[in-house]
Amino acid sequence: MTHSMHRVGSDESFQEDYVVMSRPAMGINHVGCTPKIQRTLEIIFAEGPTNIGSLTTQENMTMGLDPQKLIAKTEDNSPVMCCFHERSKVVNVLKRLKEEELGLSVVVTGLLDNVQSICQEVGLTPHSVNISLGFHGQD
Amino acid sequence: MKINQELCVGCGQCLPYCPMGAIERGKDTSRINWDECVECGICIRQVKCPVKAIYEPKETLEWPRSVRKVFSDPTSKHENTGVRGRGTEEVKTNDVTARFKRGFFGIALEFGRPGVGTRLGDVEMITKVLAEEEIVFESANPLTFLMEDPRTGIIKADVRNEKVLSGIVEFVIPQENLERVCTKIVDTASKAKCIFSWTIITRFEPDGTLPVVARLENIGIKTSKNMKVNVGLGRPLRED
Repeated sequence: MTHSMHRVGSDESFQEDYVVMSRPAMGINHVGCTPKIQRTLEIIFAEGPTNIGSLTTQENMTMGLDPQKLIAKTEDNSPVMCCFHERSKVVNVLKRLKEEELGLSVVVTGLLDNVQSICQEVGLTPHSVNISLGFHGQD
Repeated sequence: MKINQELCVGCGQCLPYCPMGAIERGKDTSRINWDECVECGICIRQVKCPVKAIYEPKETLEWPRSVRKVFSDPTSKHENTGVRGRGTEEVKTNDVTARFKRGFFGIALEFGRPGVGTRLGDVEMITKVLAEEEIVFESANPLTFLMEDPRTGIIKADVRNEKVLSGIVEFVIPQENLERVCTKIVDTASKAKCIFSWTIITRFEPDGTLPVVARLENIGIKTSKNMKVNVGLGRPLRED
């Protein structure tokens, strides 16, 4: 799921395609944040992601990832990486994260217009963005 | 990684798992091409080897081969960043770190990809040119750590031939240098010895617009509409 902004496809194929990642900033707000990461995972699992991957358990949902096992193994530097295919689920997750003021950083990859529209509905002000400029070179 | 030749039964189940195609099937056993293996560890983690023949030899963790694992195995942490994976936290935590401020752009070039990889020395084609432009490479980036001198962009001799899944070069430029630096990268790209992808990181303007998109289009660089957006939930929030 890395480099989500380099995925290529038609605008239509990205319409209901969102990658959501969350993590603390190492050295700034990561100490003692395990409960916040665990709560983020609970909110995501409650909404029903299309998939979620874990560097900690080396699994994803297609491999039978156990949510409780993943939550139990969470550490202060565990990144959260998942994807959704329904806009409404992304809206609900961001709403809960905002309401509960967990304070972990969150990035959402998707068509810019769609992500901005989600942020507007949730009441978030997008901060910054990473934009793909394509590929060069030879293999 | 290696395959114990005494144990291997040559079933070939491990072959499709290697993202570098570095596992070769012989007459009776399979072997890992030691020069092509990037030590990503996917074989040892994911293959259900019936005789448990795949193992990590002690040489994997010895310098300079040890850099292969830290750049290629997403489960290993870089000692100098504390972050798992090839790069830094880039835009993911920019609302808290303010690494990329208004008036500046972050640029990241990732050399190699799963399936092709890169020799660490191959990134010099671009890093030397960028150094001539007096680019200051990100000090917290693992690849900068492997430069002989970040002011020259030259990679340390003892790691130049090490093959990794990919390595990311990161730096920040003042916004007035955008066209000059990006044009330089595009002009040099045809000489690159390996595949690379690149990205730009920027703050949204207060009105939510991204003027960088039009500036890039004016010099012939197309941007993707599929973007990675930091939605501003991190706390404490740092505007700049």
